Amino acid sequence: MNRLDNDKLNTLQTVETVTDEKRLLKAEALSDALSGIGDDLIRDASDNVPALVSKKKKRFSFLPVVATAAAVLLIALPAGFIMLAMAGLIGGESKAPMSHEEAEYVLDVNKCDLETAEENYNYLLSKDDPTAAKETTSVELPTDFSFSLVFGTYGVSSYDSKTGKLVKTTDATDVSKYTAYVKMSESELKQVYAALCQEIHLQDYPKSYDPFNDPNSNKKTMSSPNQTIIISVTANGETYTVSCFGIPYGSSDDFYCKEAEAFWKAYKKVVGLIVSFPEWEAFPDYEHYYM
Amino acid sequence: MDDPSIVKLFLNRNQQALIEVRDRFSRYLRTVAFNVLRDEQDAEECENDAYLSAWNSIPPNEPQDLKSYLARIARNAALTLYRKKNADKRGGGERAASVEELAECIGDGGEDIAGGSLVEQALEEKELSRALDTFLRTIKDTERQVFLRRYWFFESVSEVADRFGFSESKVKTMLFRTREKLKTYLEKEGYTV
Repeated sequence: MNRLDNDKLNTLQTVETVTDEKRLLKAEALSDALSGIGDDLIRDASDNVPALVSKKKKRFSFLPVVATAAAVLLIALPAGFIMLAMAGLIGGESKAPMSHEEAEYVLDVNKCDLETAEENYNYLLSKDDPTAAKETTSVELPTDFSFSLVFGTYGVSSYDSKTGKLVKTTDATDVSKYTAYVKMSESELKQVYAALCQEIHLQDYPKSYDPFNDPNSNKKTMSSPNQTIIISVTANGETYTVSCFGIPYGSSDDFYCKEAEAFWKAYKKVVGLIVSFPEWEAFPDYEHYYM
Repeated sequence: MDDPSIVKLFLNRNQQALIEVRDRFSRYLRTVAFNVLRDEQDAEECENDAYLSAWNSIPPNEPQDLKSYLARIARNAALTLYRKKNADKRGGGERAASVEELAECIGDGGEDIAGGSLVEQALEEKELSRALDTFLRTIKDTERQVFLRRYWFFESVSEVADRFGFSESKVKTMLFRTREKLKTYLEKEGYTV
């Protein structure tokens, strides 16, 4: 490298450093200006956020499971031995046999340990992957299962599992910016199936349904704007659709019967799954809001 | 004692006000300062500065939200002390990391549309604060809270993640998106392209 090149390099490095410093100074100005934002925003970020727990998130470890299994074995082996002794199959007469109650207690303790271990295992798995615990349940997904959901204010949002088409809003200048194609995994479809076809039976609900307003009552809960929900499920060769129009906002706890509450819970589960897609989170904000 | 009553004590020049704010906000203010300085003693110094500044500024000021008012004083005191201590070196810690990230909200060019640098515009800090305030009101609650925990309170990404029960990568993604939105917004407002 000759001297000219070295000079060029030094000049370039100096320019880079100055630019870097300038950017940092600007960022400092931005950071300082943040001090001046509204009191309500500072208070909101102070008081309305979860408390900081210093403990790190617990990750699943095989150690506790192995330890529990070992403990269970340690208790189970003598218990088994005692049971056999009680049955007169082994052991000498000098040994005092365990009473029936004592034996039952030992077996119950063992059963509890196993149940607790299984619960803990599922809980810890679900901490890391919310779908994992559900996979352990025996949901048999019909081979032709598919569903579609229209939701949101006046039904501007939708998802169709068959095509994978996900729309955040149809009420936009350029709807394609709010559209993506997302295929649900089998485990996610199982969750939807469990929510709509096992936890509730969608086909048991009327085709036109309102979970907040008792059809036999004159009292009506309304809101403006309101929501449109259309759930359609295909399973085992049959398709069933439930439509809900004019569903009021802000009355989440005001159900007139258990079935209505169950319906709403199932719907929320499915919507929760859809809006947690990274593709949904990546959509731009709504262009405007309904008043 | 509630906040308006403490403010009344300040306005009446009653020194009991200082005892009351210490009882009520000591830990909070020290945390705000500690997140910037990462030093217990310095944080305590800033906490005391905040009490003194509050005593000197109320009246004439009559804060509607005493907690936020004190937090802002503690934050500014901590930033001033941080700069004093790091005048000749680029410091580390969350404050430095946080500022480095904010640099992404600004383009590479040294000049802005208006012709002056953003540093000069810092003189019009109030205007920039107002722009930030407006921007923060347009984004989702959680995005705003995460953004402010990181850049107002200078919490580390892992602390923010623990607080909200998110993964660190989710927090980083949220912050990245909010910074991108802020960059677009500031450009639109004519700050820097």
